Amino acid sequence: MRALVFVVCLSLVALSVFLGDLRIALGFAGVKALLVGLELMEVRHAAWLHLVSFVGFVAILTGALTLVA
Amino acid sequence: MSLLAPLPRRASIAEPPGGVLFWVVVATELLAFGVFFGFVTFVRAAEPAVFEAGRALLDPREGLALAAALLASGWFVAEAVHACREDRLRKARVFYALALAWGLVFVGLKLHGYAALGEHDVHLGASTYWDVYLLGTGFHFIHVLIGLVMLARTALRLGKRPFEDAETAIAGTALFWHMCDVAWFFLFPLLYVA
Repeated sequence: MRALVFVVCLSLVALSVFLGDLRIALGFAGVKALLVGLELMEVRHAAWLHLVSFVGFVAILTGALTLVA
Repeated sequence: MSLLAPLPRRASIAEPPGGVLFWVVVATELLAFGVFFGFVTFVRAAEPAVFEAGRALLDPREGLALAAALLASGWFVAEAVHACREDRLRKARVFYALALAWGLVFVGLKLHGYAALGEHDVHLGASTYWDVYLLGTGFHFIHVLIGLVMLARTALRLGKRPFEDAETAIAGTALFWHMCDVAWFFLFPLLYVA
């Protein structure tokens, strides 16, 4: 699972460069942050409050940046 | 007895994976980076021509290589933490060595990038883009250096028993390192992608 997160994140970074679109790249950044947080930072094992806070923060940050960009 | 306790299916509020202390640090840092990203996005929308001119000097492949190095390092740190939870310290040391090596690749690439920009007379005050670029990547670079020192110290402490507060030292340090990953995920498109 951790190796899969690495491969998916690396693919999304490469795709961001290939597509060259800021909004898509920021959306991908949000997906990568969620994957790394949930799996590598072990947030999926955290208490529900922490899990929801982390996912909420990443979603709000990604949404706000994508809207302003 | 294992160095780290196995992860529970669902941790308690008082004991998140990696410990409370590092989560407070990571949350504070991510908030600070978040405010900065908002500022960059706003300035970028206000001065698109300045950003376009600045970005023309950067090679997106450099940003891709930097992201790949950090991602690889983060992956190996996660594997090292997992190996510690299984009490496989030899395996953990190998993963820490790989994580440190990829972290040093990031440092080398970034220093090379800064040196190349110096040849184009890039400096603070040159333009809004370069102010944002140098402050953002510089702030991130300092975090990477701190993270590398923490990782190296944790790796050196492995096997030296008693390892007090191992959860904070091992999983907490990993949290800090992954935070550097997450921050780069957003810095990368804002500075390198059109």
